[in-house]
Amino acid sequence: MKINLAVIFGGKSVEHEVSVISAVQAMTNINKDKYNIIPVYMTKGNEFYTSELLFDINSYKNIPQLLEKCTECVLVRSENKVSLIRQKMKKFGSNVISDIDIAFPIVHGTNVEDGALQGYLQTLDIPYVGCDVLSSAIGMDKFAMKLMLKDAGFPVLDCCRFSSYDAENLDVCINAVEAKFPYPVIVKPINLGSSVGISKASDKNALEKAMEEAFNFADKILVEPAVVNLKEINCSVVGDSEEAEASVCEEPVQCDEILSYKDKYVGGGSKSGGSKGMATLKRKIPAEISTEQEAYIRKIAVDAFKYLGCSGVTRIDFMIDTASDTVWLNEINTIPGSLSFYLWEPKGVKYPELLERLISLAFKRQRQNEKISYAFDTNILSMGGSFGSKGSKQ
Amino acid sequence: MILFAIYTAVALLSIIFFSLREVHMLQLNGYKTPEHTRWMKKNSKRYILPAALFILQFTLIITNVSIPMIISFTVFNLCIALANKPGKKFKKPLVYTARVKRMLVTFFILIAVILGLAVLTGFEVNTSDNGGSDTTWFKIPVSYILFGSALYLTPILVVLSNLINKPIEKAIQNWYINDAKKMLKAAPNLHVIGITGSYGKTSMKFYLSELLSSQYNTLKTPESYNTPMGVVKTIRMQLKPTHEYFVCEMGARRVGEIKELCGIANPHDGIITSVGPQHLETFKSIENVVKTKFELADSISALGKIYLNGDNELIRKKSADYPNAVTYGTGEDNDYRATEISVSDKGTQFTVTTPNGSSCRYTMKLLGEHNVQNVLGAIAYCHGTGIALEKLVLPVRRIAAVPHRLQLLDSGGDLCFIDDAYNSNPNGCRAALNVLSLFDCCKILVTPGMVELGSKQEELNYEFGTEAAKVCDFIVLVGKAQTEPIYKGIISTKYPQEKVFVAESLNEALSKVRAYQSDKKKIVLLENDLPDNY
Repeated sequence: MKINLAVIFGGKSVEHEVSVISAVQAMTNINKDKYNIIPVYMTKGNEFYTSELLFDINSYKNIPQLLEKCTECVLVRSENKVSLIRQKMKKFGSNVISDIDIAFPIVHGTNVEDGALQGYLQTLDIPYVGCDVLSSAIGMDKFAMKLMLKDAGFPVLDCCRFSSYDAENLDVCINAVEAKFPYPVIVKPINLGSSVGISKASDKNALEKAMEEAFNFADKILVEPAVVNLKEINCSVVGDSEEAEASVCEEPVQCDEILSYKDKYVGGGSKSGGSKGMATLKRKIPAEISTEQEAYIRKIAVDAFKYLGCSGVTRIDFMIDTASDTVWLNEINTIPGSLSFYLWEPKGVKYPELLERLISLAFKRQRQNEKISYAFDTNILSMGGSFGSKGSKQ
Repeated sequence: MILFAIYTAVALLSIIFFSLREVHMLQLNGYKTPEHTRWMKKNSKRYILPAALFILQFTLIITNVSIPMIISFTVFNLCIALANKPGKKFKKPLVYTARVKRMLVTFFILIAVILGLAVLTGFEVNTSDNGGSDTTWFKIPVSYILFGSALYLTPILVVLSNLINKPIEKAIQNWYINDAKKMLKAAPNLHVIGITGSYGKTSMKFYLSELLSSQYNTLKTPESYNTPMGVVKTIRMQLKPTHEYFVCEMGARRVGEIKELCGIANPHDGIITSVGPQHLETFKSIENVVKTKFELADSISALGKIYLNGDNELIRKKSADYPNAVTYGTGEDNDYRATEISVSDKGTQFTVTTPNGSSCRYTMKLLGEHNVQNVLGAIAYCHGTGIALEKLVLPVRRIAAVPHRLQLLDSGGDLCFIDDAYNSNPNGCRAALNVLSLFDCCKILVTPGMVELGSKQEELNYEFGTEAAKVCDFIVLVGKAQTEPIYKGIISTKYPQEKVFVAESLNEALSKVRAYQSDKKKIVLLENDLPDNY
């Protein structure tokens, strides 16, 4: 009797392909003696498909062809369990493809990583790996994250936030930025990971262009002062609000001024192309920083992880101003590319072991949720009395 | 012919009603023939009319079949039907389980055979002198007697059907058992814990699964399921591949039953909560009880551990025989010990010390020494699985008390209640007084006394009164007449009369309690049920 584990990936997100790579890597490394893996691929239109073919990265080269061989499916809760059933029902025979004991979302970006998919799984009342709805949503919204972390005293950069309605008067926005920060500034969409739509502006013209670019990817954008003598440091955290542990720190090597989407996922450089995801990006592990600074970053990473109520694996990105040695917490990735496994291997945590830890954290959260009463057994409506259309204010 | 048809129809109706009632009773008696026959003897009244008719119908042979006779039998048969008419309200109605359906099929095959015989014997062919012949239908008594017998012997036929089906039922049960075993085998990472004991095994099961589930996915046998089929049902209906621990309660009334359960669940570890004189009518001797409970210990492999309540004398004596035994209790030489036990309006506090010397202090809402022992046993087991003592502090605090069983209710203000309303036996009363005595509060007892204790009731209530007088600052008795013996008991200890109050109702008692003045917090023990009819 193996545990049926559905790995859900893809989806309507600019990081769709990255998610496929991360998921295929994870599926290769999950202990198959213990788990029966059911791949659930979300297309860019958010349709769900399943098939054995989805285990192989080469299958994804021609998606329409792949989908023809897959079964369109849907998750439902019925008879006190969650099952993956055929979307197009057969007239005869069972439509259940498999019962699902636990879901493992390996998705990146808006519409999936931001609590949307998590909310779907929460509604199905199935244990799922990773952050819950709120921490996913806060992790995705850089502004909400800044507000919350700032309130608790974490080192985050100040920022201006604009919506696309504000942008109708772009001059007003630009004036507001100029009043607050000196150039250069960084412009980013509020809710995208993987550096998409992020650019640096050193003057008014560039700022205008940068903001327009950013609005292509999000309804709300942030402008914050650029750290001039920048060193980026990433640190992964695994655990939950009770107990969390930080990995080694990495220093991504920059080609451009900011680590762009191309650098991260496309320009891995080597012949194997982008199919290795985050794992092949040029980087220094461990990062070349002082022991004190490393300890400080790792502590802040763990504290922020717990404070935001995260669970599973995250990667928290820091910026160091090398001139003043100031550390800023930049962003949190609630489902990091390649699940940051390459940051755990130097600590002696093999990828299968990391995945096992993530899965058991999901079960732990489910057990804790079960201990809380969310619904009363009695039906108030059955107790007589006339509630009727007047409601309770009689 | 018409007469026979009416007679048969009425008889058949009676058979249906009568048999359903009998099957229902057989179901309530657990389908066990000896227990059912005992029940039949006890309720022999029910069978007087059918038995009388069974004998009377043989007079038909002498009187031959006549219309008045058959009509009177039909009327009597109708009486049987009415007496067993469905629709009567039962606490536990007849459940049409697969087993009942199978039994009814067998039963009605028997009835059909008898009816067939009755029809076959129901005609005679008279050969007349001129060589012709004519048939007379249903004039001879045999048909009527045959079918009448089917009705009057229904109780026996029901039992017979049950016996006929026994091998089939056994085979079906075995299939279920094997299926459950197969499921356990297919879950090699599942850790099974067997729990048995004369008392406290259900509580232990709840506490242990509560604590274990703070770290592991845990399945437990629900409610007080503790028979082979109960365990099998739990495994087949609820076991999921995600479960890591299975806490399995095991009950026994006879020697060998724990062994049988171990054969199914195959526990890795075991816990024996207590051994005492429980179910002695089936166990015959206390030695047999000990032997049966330790069947659990015998079935644990050398790799597993058997956790034993070391405060229980009978268990302690046997523990030396088991090298893999781990004892827990309040006594000094236990491996896991609970010490510095104290109670307050927040519950019980105690310190647990492990065999390696580490210790931790716990607070729980539960009261009573037996609960300290049970929670200690659960902590000991969890610690054995590698959970740190500190991790159990919160889960222990979260364990909820069973309602009305030494349930601590802090209503805020200067009042705190110990609700022990479900208790009604002398041992329980003593334990509750013992708990009350530990409080550093103004101790008040509210009780209507113990009832339904037979001939010893007065004596036991008197004793209860003398013991209560030693502990309580105030005593409020509810109902004058039946608390007389308690009152006498209290007064016999020279307890100040003004501190005893006899109330007419619980409400009056409670307002009296509120009126008492004390500079300490008042703790009120509500002992025994307070039903409306007293």
